[in-house]
Amino acid sequence: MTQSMPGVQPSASPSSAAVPDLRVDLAPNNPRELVLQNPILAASGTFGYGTEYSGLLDVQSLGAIVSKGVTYRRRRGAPMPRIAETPAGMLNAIGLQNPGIRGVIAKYPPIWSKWSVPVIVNLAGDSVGEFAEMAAILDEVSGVAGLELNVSCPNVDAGGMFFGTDPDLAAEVTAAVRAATSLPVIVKLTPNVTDIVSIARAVVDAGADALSLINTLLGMAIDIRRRRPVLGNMTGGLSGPAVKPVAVRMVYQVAAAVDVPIIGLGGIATLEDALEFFMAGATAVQIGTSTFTNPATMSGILDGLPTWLARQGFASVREIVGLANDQVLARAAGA
Amino acid sequence: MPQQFIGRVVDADAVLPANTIVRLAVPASVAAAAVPGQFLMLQSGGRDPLLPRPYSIMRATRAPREGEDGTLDLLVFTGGRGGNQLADANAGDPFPILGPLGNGYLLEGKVRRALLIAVGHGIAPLIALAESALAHGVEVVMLVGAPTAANLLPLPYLPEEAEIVVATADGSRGHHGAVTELVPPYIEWADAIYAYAPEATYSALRDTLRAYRGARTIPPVQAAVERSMACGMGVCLGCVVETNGGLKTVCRDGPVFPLETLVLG
Repeated sequence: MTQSMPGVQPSASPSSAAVPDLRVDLAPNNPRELVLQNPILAASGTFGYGTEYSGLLDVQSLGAIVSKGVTYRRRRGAPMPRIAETPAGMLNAIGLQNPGIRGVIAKYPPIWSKWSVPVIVNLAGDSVGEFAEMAAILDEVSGVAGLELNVSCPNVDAGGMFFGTDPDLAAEVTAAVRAATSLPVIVKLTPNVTDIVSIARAVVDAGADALSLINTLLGMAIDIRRRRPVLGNMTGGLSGPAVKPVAVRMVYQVAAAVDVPIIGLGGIATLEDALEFFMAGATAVQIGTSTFTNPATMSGILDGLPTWLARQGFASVREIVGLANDQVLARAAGA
Repeated sequence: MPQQFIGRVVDADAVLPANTIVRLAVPASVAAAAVPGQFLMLQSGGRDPLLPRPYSIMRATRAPREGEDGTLDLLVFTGGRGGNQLADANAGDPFPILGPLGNGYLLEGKVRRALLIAVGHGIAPLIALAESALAHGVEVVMLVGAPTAANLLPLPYLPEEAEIVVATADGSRGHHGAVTELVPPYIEWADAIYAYAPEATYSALRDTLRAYRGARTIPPVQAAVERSMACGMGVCLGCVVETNGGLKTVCRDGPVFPLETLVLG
């Protein structure tokens, strides 16, 4: 039942009792490939540009790093306060504070190009043309392994989530980026929609190599003492363990409907959380808010995953993708 | 360079109704590296509360002998989620910690007279700074502000060799008014000013210093900024402060900034 994987050759026969194979390919239909040494990624906005945590954990051991969202021009971001803790979660409205694409390119790709861990740049345009232009700029930048299109940020006025809530617009952005670059393109979906499957289908049809979901859930907290919303932006995106069941459900639904790799995220704090996402149909997972809770979260999952797989008799992490999802299993069996 | 480590509660002293001083046993390298003004992110929940809490280091004590732990003292506010779990912990209870974090106060060798201005729990890092300064033979005056006398740390908790001048908003102890009103007589005395206070106090402090008309150069002010934080590592951008060099993260670029660089409301 091992899923076919053009970019990855089997490393060992299951009978050899070798260390389970953790490699995954996030862009099997793209000649430039996006083969990761393991399926544990740092989520955008929670790991900076990859350099910030380098003294604390081995960033090279990760499957990939997704950068903080990058816009065409520099952005100051949202007013303070920008974060609010909620039960088993947090609201944030950072508003995509970043130095702009030129500022990022000047500083970080020279570092990334020396790393073995792939860096995926998260892009947040405010128009279809801006998304395409940024993709074209990054197409040949050494050190950039792929793009994640942020059509799902809830905290900016122009663009952001707007693109991700309309199937036609989401497809238009995806197609424009597809035409502008041969880099692997991941589209990050927002959960703030009635039917996430229709958005997923639209962007896959438009050429997305993979999908990541979910971005944060739009929320609000009120400071009863001040009688005002806590966040300067009024609303913010909810993340953390509180959102995990919503994320697992959406990964399950989308995995059943589309045949591209899915990167699951939303509240993953433990190996067991990650396994839920794999079994729902995710090929890889991203860790976000839990890195704030414990910077060693990703390392801990990476340590535990091969042990769990071996104990359960799996030779590869790819064997557990969709184990709980009949439609994914049926598709794999028919392939 | 910050480390991730386990701190174990040594003891807890409920010094005020809403504040407990918690002593933690920590790796010797952490206690040795800590600089006054630096802070820790201490995790007391994991799910609830989800996020670690920032704590200024009130006192770092080096390991007495090789192979033993050092200790860190924290001033813990017990009125909120997180702090209460720490304050109510038993001796030996473990807490995951990240730190020391941020840029602390810089006590330059030429400073012989230091004026410290503390409001509220800003007293904690300034106790660390005062003890360090006194150990280097620096004369220290601490101006301590609080809403009312009941919020003030008892004198025995403050460095014995430092001169302490108190201001309370309600006049229940010391000067009746704002702590910044105590500053003018010390402008010519101090070589440097170190502060940990709300930004409104910094605005008043700046105005006070600007109003000085004497012959001496106004002493430089190192001011620590307080924010709620999620990561402590400069990545979430949840704790930014406006400076004349643009937005800076309090957790990584600060928490101590030159006062003249802060853009105050």
